[in-house]
Amino acid sequence: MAFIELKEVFYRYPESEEWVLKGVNLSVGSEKVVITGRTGSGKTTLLRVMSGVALKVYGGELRGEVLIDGRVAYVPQEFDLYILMPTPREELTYILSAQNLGLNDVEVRIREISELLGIKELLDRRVVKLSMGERQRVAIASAIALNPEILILDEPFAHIDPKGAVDLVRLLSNLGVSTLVISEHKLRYLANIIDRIVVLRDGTVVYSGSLEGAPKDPDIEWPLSMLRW
Amino acid sequence: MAFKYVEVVSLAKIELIDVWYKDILKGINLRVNDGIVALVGPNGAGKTTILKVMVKALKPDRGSVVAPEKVGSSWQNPYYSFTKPTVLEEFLEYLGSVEEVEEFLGSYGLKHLLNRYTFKLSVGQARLVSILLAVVWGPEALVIDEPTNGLSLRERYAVSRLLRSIKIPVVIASHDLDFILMTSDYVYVVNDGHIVCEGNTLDVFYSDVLQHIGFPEPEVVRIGKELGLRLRSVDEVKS
Repeated sequence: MAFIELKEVFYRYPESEEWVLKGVNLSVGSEKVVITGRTGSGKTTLLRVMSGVALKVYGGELRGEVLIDGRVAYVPQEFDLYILMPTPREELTYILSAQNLGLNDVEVRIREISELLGIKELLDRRVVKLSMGERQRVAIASAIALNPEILILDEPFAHIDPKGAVDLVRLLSNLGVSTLVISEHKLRYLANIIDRIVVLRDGTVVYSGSLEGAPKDPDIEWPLSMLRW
Repeated sequence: MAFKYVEVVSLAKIELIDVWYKDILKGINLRVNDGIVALVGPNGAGKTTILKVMVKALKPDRGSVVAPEKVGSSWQNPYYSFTKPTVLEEFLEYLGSVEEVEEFLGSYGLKHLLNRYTFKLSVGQARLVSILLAVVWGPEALVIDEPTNGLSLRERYAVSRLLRSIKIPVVIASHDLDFILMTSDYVYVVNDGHIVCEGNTLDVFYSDVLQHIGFPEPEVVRIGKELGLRLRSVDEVKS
């Protein structure tokens, strides 16, 4: 079973005095978790640590214990930096052929994934010509092509239009990835599919549990259907 | 008969007349006089391209564009707005003294960002700073692409208040339906390079136009319809 465990984790970026994460304790197993909190609370940094890229890509200093067990795919906020190939089809082909799939199987997987993400018409367009929302879908498709056990998404709804958001929620709930970690402000889309919400404030976890039991916090954007007036 | 040269005089602050651009914009007609105008539409509809035409970053293949000289802008990648190493230096360019910068940022609850490196801001913080930078130099109009991506609820309210408080025409492109509903006065619905509908924000949201382009009904609208009220935000019910 895939899991991520963080024990008393402190992290700071290189050339920075200030700790961004200040003693985070968090373990995530087979569940769908949303991480929320106001901007600058450390959400993105926490996801970088959980996916293992913090030290490898950014460097800096990490204290505490980070255990990552399972294949991780991570879609960062600056996802368009990570699309390497000129077209979505080439990007997906590159990822899939690295998994020793035959040419036919690659074709079949590309068709499946592009249908899931609604990017069938975009497959042969140039990535630089795609809008941000379209690129975000391509980035998520590439992550899914990695066939991960743990999928980590940083603000996946940021650029996606409302119709795409509804489709993405449906996709995420049927994906079959055992562990899903999402950082997001808008809980409304995810309220029905998540098991747990984690609230960060100033680099520490201030709440972890069900959405219903979460504290009244102006930074938590409640789905209206759950508001009680 | 000789043709007379007729200069186009527009009363609108920003106007696009039959604008075509590659296969992205297919005959866009749009006028912005005052207030906040929102462009709504699915990914790839052409919203960002329309904004780029407005600030004259793109030259349309056909059609004409009327826009003021000084247009402030903030783009989907907020880091594009930055040219200086720190937030303080960015604002010092337009505001005379450190105290003034402090007061300006403080009035939007961002005083703690004063000495931060711009490239080290989180995406949400960078977006807020980028929007303030677009406003601070006194432009005649403002163009903002996706003003709320990466912002928490409280910050979205702050941006909405900020945009409503400035007295110049503002054009936003967004698919944050709740934000548009509470912020904008007028809406253009963009789909596949065409403007398929335009109107007063409440008229558009309380019709079924958005459902026709595949968007789900915003929760506020659903609740408003249940209560028989044309709500802009939930706060109206609370109060």
